[in-house]
Amino acid sequence: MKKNNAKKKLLTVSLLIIAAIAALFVTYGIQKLNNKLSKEITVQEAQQIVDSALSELPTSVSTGAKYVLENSKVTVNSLEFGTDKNAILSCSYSAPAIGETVSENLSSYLTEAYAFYDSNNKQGIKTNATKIKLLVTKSLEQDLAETKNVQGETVLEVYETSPGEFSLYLSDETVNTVFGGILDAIELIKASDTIEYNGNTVDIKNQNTLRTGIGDCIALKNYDNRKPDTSVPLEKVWNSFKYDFYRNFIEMDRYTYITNGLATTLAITLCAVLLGVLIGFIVAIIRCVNQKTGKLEIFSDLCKIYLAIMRGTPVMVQLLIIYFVVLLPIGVPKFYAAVLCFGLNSGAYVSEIIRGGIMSVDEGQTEAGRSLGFTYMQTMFHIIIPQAFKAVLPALANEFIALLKESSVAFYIGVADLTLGGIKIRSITYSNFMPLIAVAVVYLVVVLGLSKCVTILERRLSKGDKR
Amino acid sequence: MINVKGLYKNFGEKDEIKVLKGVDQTIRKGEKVVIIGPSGSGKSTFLRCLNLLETPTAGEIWFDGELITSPKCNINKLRMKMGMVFQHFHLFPHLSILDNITLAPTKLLKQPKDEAVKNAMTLLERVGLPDKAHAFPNQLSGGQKQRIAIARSLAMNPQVMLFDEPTSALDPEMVGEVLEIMKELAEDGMTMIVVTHEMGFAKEVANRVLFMDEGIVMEEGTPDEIFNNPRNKRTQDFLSKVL
Repeated sequence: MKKNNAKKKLLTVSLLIIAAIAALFVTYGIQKLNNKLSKEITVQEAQQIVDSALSELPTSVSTGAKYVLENSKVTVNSLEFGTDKNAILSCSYSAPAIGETVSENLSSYLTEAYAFYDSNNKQGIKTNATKIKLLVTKSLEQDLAETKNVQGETVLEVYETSPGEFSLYLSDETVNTVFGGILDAIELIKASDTIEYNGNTVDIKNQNTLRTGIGDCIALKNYDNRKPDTSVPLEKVWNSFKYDFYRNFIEMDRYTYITNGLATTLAITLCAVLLGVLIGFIVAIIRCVNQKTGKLEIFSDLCKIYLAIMRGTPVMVQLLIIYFVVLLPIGVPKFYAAVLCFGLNSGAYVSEIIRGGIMSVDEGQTEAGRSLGFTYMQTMFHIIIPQAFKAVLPALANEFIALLKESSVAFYIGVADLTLGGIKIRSITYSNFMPLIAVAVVYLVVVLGLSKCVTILERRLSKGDKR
Repeated sequence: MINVKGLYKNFGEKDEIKVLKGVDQTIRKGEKVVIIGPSGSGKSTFLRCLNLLETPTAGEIWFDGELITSPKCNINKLRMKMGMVFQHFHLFPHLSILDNITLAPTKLLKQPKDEAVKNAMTLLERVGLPDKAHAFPNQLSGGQKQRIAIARSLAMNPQVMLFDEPTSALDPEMVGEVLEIMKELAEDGMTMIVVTHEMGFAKEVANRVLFMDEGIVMEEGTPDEIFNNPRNKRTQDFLSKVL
C-alpha cells in the first residue's frame, strides 16, 4: 500500500515537471516565431537612435572623448531588418584619429606627466589623477586639433529591447571604429609600464595615478559592450534572476553575510540551549524537590517568579532590556547578551519540559532507589534524571529548533545573525526578494534538517527501549 | 530485632482514611514472618512503614535498639540495612543488570568497582542468572526481573528483607522460580517479612503467619495453627476463599 502511494506520488510529480517544461517550450516557441520589430523604423529614426546613443558615451570628465565626439559624424545611409528583432544599419563615419595621435605622442604625455609628478613629489605636494588629467588634456587637445579625420563605412545594429524602445548595440569593435581608435588608445595607456626620463628607464607599473590621469582624458564612462537584451519574457525573468542572484550573493562575496550570519545564529542557539538546559535542570530539580519534600521553599518561589517573568513577557522585550538596560552599561558584547537572553528564556520552557520528564518517571523508581538507601537527591541524580533526560531529549531538540527561529530577533540589538545578514544585503542592493527569500530558505533548510535528526533520534531512543 | 508499638497510619489530607489502627509486633532475628490478608487490610502499608517508605502517623518502630520513627534517625542509613522487593520489581531500566546491582554498593557503601562487580556476579549465580549480567531489564521476563530485584537488594548486605507481594505481578509459571530463590534465602537464615498470597510458601517457609484485616493483626501463629486451625472468624472466612 505504502509503495503504491510512493509510486503514484512520483508519477504525479514527474507529470507536473513534464507539463511545466512543455509549457515553457510552447511559450518560448511562440515568442520566437513573433520575432520581428514591432514597428519598422525609418533611416531618420535610426539616425536619431545612433546619435543619442553615441552622445551618451563620454562623460563630463573625459575631455578627449568629448572632443572626438564633437568632431566625428556617423551617418546612416540605409537599413534593413534582421531576423532577431533588429535592424542593420549601413553607415559612413568620420572621426579624429585619436588612436593614432595617442600612439604617436604617448611617450611625451607620460614623460610630461611624470615630470610633473616628480617635481611635485620633491616639493612634497601630492599629485592626484585629476591634476595629471588637466595637464595632459591640454597637450592632447592640441595634438587632436592637428589630426585629420579617418573616414570609412561600417555596420551598426539597432535592437528593440521592449516594444517601441530601441537601443544601439555598440561592440568594442564598433566603438573603436566610429571613435577613431579610441579603445586602442585606452589599451595603449593601460599597457604602458616604462618610460624614458632623464636618460633613465623608469618603471611606472605601480604608478596608477599616472595612468589613470592620462586614461581619464579619453575614458568612455557609460560604455556597455553587452548586446541589448531582446530575449523573450521567460528568458528575461531568468536573466534578471541570474543578475539579481549575482548582485545579491556573488558580487563582493555578499553571500558571506548569509554564511557568517548562519554561523552566528547557530552559535547563539547552541550556547543558549546549553544555558537553557542547565537553568532548566536546576529549576526543574528545585521545583520537584520542593513539591516532594517541601524543602528549598525560597528557591522554589524564586523559580516561580523567574518562570512567570520569562513566560509572561515577549522575548524581544527581554532581549532589549537585557542588552540595553543590563549588559550594555557594563560593556558586555551583544553576542553574550543574546545568548544570555535566549538561554534564560529557553530555560523557563526547558524547565517545564524537564519537570514533565521527571514526573513521567515511575514513582516506583524513586521508591526502589530510596529503599536501597539513596537520599532523595542521590535518587534524583543516579536514577530519575538519567531516565527523564532520555525521555525529554527529543523535546529538547525541538526546543533547539524553536530557539533557532526565535533567535532571529537578535538582529534588533545588532547581532550579526542570519536575519541581519539578509537585512544588510537588502540595504546594499536595495532588493527585497533575493536576500529575504534566501534567509527564509536557509532557516527552512536548517530547521528541516534538524527536524529530520530529531526524528532519527526519537527512533533510536525508542529502539533502545526495546533492547 | 524489629519492635513495633502502636503503629497507626492514616492517609488523606484530613487523615480520613485510616489504614493501620494499632499494630504491635516483635520480629526476632532470623525469623520468617508471612503476612496474609485481604486486599486493603493494611499489610503492604505495614511493611512500607517498617522502612519508612510511609511515615507512620503514630506509634514507634525500633530497629536494632534504635527508634527509627524519631526525626533524628538517619533514614537512609537504616534503609541500607533493610532490603525491599516490590511487586513491580522497579529495576532501573536505563542501567544494565550488572549496573542495577552494583549502583547502590558503589555509591552508598563506597565499594570499589571490581569488588562490587565480583559480589554482583556471585549474587547473579545465586539467583541463577549470571548470563544476564550485561542485558537490560526490558529484555528479561517478569520472573527474571524479580530475581534480579532480589539480587539488587541483597547486594547491600541487608539484615532484613521485606517482600511486598513479590509474585503478584508474575505469570503463574514464573512464580515458582522466584519463590525458590526466597526459600533458599530463608534457609540461609535471612530475617524475612513477606506479604504474599502464596499460601504454599507461607506454610513451607514461615515461622509465624500474621493474618491482617481492617488495619490490625487479627490472628497470628505458626502456619499450622493458622492454616489448619484458625480461631478467628475472619481468618476462617478468608482462608476458605483462598485455599
